[in-house]
Amino acid sequence: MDNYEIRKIKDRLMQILVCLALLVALIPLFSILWEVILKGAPSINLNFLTQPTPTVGEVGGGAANAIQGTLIAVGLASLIGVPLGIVSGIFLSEYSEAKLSLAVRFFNDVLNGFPSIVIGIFGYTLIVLSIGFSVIAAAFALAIIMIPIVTRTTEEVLKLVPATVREAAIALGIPRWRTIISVVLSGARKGIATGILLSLARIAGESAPVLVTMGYWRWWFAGLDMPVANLALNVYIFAISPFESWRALAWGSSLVLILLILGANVIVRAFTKEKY
Amino acid sequence: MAITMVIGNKFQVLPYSLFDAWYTMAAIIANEFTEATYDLYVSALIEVGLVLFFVALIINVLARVIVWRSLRLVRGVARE
Repeated sequence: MDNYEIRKIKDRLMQILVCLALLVALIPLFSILWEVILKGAPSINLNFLTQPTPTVGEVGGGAANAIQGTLIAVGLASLIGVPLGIVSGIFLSEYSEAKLSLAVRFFNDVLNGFPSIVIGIFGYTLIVLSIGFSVIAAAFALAIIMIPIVTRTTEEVLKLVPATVREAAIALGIPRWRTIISVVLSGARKGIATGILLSLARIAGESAPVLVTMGYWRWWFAGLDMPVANLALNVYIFAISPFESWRALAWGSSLVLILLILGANVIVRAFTKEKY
Repeated sequence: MAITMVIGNKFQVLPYSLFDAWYTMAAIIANEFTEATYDLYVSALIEVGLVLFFVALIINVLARVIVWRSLRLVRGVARE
């Protein structure tokens, strides 16, 4: 009985400790959000959303070109990264008996935890050295960051689709590839969308590969073989700049970046809502 | 990049204190890549990237070994 009491107290103590740890883990998240909203909101106005980056000493100016550039770079990157990621996710989940899949899974994990700047350097040696600093190079580097995340989540989500559903489709005489496309993929639609969103959020906030593959650019989009401005890189450049107005732009850019990712989240979730 | 902004970016052979400014490999590449004007400089920075690559690879292999070991342990217990 006495022993039982002590064990109950211990259990209670552990519960409290776990709750405390959760709180401690949540503090940075909310304090970052709070700080960004508090300092970013005042610098967001019509000018901020319509004007390009100001030159030194210029009053006003905004981050419209950076918003445009981020959308272009992230869009191009997902054109390359999403199909590749989904296809390799399908390979890992549906054809996992293949010997190659062990190696693919391992190197996918390696790539997932890779320093993003090394991926940027890879993009530099492969593309920048031949065609110069450009959106294409940045999109390529960002796509490489994207692929392992999409692959991982696609694989996990496809594994959740019950085997009986696949067997039912095959029993009807539907070929394997058709089963995967129409039955398995559509059943896992929501999970795949979540994976894509995760990777989008990650690459929209990457500044290191962007710096190495296209550098800092103050103007509007000028063609695929030219650099574009980028929100994350703007935050980095402006935040360590000596001008008060530029630092305000950095806070505003951070807030816009967070809102963009949040907006993408809401839109994709609305589109992939389960019908039943 | 996040670290580059706060670590202080100071070259030191042996950092003396946790409260001193340091440098990381990723920060070196981020800071100097835009200044690298000749081939040897660029190559040196890419070399730093190669070292980073090996660090990431070794850590991943170690993690895989730990997972593999614990999986074998679980399976072994289940068999007995």
